[in-house]
Amino acid sequence: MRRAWTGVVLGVAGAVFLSALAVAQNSEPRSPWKYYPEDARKNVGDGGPAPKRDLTGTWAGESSGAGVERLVPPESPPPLTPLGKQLFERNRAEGGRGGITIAESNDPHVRYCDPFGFPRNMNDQIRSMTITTLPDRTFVLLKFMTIWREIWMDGRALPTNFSRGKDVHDPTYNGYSVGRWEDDYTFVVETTGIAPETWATEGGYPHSVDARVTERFQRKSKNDLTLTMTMDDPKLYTRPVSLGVVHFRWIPSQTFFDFTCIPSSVQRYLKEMADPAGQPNPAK
Amino acid sequence: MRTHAIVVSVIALALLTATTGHAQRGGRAPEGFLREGIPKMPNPPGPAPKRDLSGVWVGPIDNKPDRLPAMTPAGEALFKERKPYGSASRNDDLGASNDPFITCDPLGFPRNLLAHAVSSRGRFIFGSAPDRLLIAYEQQRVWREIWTDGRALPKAVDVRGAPESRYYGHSVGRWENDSTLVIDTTGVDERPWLDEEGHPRSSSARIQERYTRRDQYNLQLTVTIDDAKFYTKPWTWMRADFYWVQGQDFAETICIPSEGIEYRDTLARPSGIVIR
Repeated sequence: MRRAWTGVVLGVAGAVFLSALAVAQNSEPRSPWKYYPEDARKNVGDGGPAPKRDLTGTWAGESSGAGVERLVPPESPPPLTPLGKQLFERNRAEGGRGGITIAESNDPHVRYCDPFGFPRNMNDQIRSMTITTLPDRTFVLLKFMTIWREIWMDGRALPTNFSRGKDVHDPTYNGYSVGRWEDDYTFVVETTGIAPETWATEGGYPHSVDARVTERFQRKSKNDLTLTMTMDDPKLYTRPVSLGVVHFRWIPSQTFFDFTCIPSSVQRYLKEMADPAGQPNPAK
Repeated sequence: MRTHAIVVSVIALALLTATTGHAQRGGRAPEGFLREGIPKMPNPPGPAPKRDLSGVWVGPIDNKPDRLPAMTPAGEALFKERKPYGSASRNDDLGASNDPFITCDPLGFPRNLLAHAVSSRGRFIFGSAPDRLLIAYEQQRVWREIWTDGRALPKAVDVRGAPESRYYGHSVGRWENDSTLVIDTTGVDERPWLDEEGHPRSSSARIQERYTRRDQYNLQLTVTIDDAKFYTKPWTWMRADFYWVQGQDFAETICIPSEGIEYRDTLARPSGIVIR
């Protein structure tokens, strides 16, 4: 079940898609500034071989309207330790446990538009991402919330101290990331130091600041990119947990529309609609 | 307080920003620093590489904009509805504000160039993708794309057949010469403010950025705004310097809505400060 506010926005996005279709049918001139999901859907096939060690460009994800499907959802149920179970039960994800409403949810993104943080921003609301590489790092720029991550490729080691003392590193919403090419088509990213108040998934999977997330970006052809995510967090999980496999398709126009959660709009929506409509149910 | 959680007190932040800004103008930089918080590069700058701004830059430094021109009646009307906070407030009630950034709504372009971090400066980096340049900003971790494929800017937004307006607008760029990049932007979403004072900018505004790389470490930025809907004439909104960042790194500076709203509701309002 999608979030209510998201549904509202998706309705708008749907209208955009439909208007784009109508434009196509009316043979109106195309604007290079607009994203036409039907064009992305028509772009079938692999497009030829993948270029070597190159992910640069703009990609469509499962919420793009381009017909891109998620390959594997996050592992369920997650293999939680007792502490992990305790934290997971605190997280009241909308739609979980028999239908938690938005009024009953404590998802910081649903309630406030707080940043997803990593790794949730790579497995929830996957609309479009652009990748660019500089000599010492790669950037992943996400269209949902218009935010970016940086992945260092200069050979540095990941930080390990996120608590106190000398050489401490503040936990961050996007964590600290390093990347390397495992072969000509597989880019592997390791991330840690992620702010623990964020959720790892839409379903409320918790993570600690010491969680280590591995992403494997595999470019199988010019048009196909697959991301496999695994989280190793021994404090909260009895073994590494799969955060799923998401698929991306190359967007021929390289254009996508903005999609952002606006905090003031959500507060107004909660006050006027969602909270009055959703009475808390202690049984959930 | 962690570095990324900057919204414990936006009002205090505004006051700090004003104070720091004053210190920047009047204070002397410590030894080894260009300005407070900006380490000087160890070597004299070499020549600017041709048509290349890639790297991390910090600023604005020594911003010297033109005086704001008179607003049109439509601009004045919108401006009167806006209640800035802190030192930008136009009345005695410093806390009474409807600044969208109180709840961490997007700053939008070009206000995001006026960094709201405590230092009043921010960092950005240029990158590239097919047919475009990318600019990633430290503040709010937002990014823009600048098309360089020769396309024309959209003539309108939010009408049939046209693209939607965007918080950071639609942009095209071109190299005027080997050291000057010119970016033209239009189609901004009208909800964000132009500045902390609450001046408006319209979706039909034409905003031009001129980045001139003087040498290896020094970049000048001039931003001009032509917005006939809200202002009686164009003007230079920013004329500032940016400097090469030693270490080429970023902090994570994000306004967290839940923290901003909690501050508003549990500290500001009970203290008699009215924010929205």
